[in-house]
Parts: sequence; C-alpha cells; structure tokens
Amino acid sequence: MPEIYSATNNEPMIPLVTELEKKGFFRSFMGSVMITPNKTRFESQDDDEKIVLVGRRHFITNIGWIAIVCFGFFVPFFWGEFPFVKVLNDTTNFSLTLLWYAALLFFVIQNFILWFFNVYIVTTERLVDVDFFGLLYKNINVTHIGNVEDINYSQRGLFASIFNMGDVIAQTASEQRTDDKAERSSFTFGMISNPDLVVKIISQLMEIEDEKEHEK
Amino acid sequence: MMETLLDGGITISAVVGVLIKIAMLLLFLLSLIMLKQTSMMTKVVSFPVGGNVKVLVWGFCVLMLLLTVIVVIV
Repeated sequence: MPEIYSATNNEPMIPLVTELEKKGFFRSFMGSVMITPNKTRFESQDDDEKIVLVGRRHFITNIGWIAIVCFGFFVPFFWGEFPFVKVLNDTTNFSLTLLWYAALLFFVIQNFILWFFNVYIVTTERLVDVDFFGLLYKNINVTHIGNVEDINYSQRGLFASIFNMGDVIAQTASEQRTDDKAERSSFTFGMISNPDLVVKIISQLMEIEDEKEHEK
Repeated sequence: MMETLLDGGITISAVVGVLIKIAMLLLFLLSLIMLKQTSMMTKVVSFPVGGNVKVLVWGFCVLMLLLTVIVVIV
C-alpha cells in the first residue's frame, strides 16, 4: 500500500535556541524573554507550529507606575493636614481612605496585566505582536517569517544601555501601521530585553525559511 | 463654619460621602471590566501562570464588591 502520509520531525533546529535551552537560560514565565516556553499557546496557533520565543517589555519599564504607587501609598498618611480633608467627619475620611487604596490596587493590577499580556511571539512559522491598549482594545499583528524583509534593533539612552533593552523592528512589505503612530512598523517590539538575542533568533529563522524556499 | 453648606442643610462630608459612594460603584464596575478583559487576554495568549492572574483579578473583584457594600451602607 502506498504511503500517503508519514509524520516526520520537521521542526527546524535553531542553533542559538538549542544552546540556550541546554543552558537553561530564559525559562521564567515572569521574565521578559522566554525561550520555548512549555504549556504556552496563542489564539491562532497551528497544531504543528512551535513557539520559539515569547517576550514582553523589560521589567524596568514598569518603574514609572511603581514609583507612583509607592508615593500614593503614603498620601493618606499626611492628607489630614489639608484643610479640605480636615473638615470631613471620621466616617467620610475612612471611606475616602478605602477608596484611595482600592483605586491604587486597581491601578497596580491593571498596569501589571497590561505588562504581562502585551507580548510578542516568535514561532517556527510566524511573528505575532499582541498589543493591548487599556482595558477595552486589543491589536494583534501576525506575519509569516518569509514575509519579513529586514530585522534590526535600536538601543537609545542610558537606561537602554544599562539594562540591555531596546526596540526590535521587523520590516514587512505591508504598509499597514498599528494605531500607535510612534511605531515604525506593525512589528515593533518596544523596550524589550536582550534585543540582540531576539534579532539573532529571528535572523536564523529567516535563514531556515530561505533554505526551505530554495529547496522547493 | 467651613463644613456646612446652604445654611446648614448639607455638609461637605455629606457631599464628599455621596461622591465616594459613586466612585466606589464606578471602581467596582471597572473591576468587572478588568475581569472580562483578563479572560479575553488569557484566551489570546495562554500562559501556565495565566490562571493565577485570573485568580488575582477575581480576588480584586470580590474585594471591591465587599468594600463597595461597606462604603455604600456606611
């Protein structure tokens, strides 16, 4: 009987990823870069598609809202000095304090969630950029690795150099832009950690894709 | 007196109290929206720790419900 289909292990071997996997680097789910994360899936993932890399903004980019929260935590300790708050009775003062801390907690959770789920995903076949703006708006860009024409990264400023973070920009033929006008491409992974590593991995995937095209 | 408005009928505390109650209700509503958004986010990208994030948001919603009830009743 002729063989119609045989399952083969046709997953491309990416040298850098294999090396990092062996060393056990970038395995934390709370980290800014995760290499071949286990039990991680995304909405439009194909069955034979393997996630190579998942990343998000560098943790240090959260420092702004963390500083606001630290300051905000102590505000009720001294707001009794303001004349407007001084005239409030105890019950209203208590309610105001509860409201303040509830709002602060909401602010913390919202910012954390937005940081945690705003990810970029590199698979063996595609690049996926998941952007959530606020609580009610999402923007998901997907492109095939073969459509990526150019990949580069930039590091600007003191913080970027100290914490090794930067913007990775994948150029495709598409003219479409995201709603974030500051982005130069739909596939701009902003302020991510280890941009050099991400560019290397995507470049190696592009080479594998090119080889596949030539074989055809 | 600074704390009385309109010849003693309404106090600043009463006005601020009503505003706080409205703000608490709005914040509770926002926490429900956040819950819905988190469910959607975990569907888009599913991480093993995504369940913990959902539990955190559920916890916040329940806490907000409790606080809102306390503040509105008080």
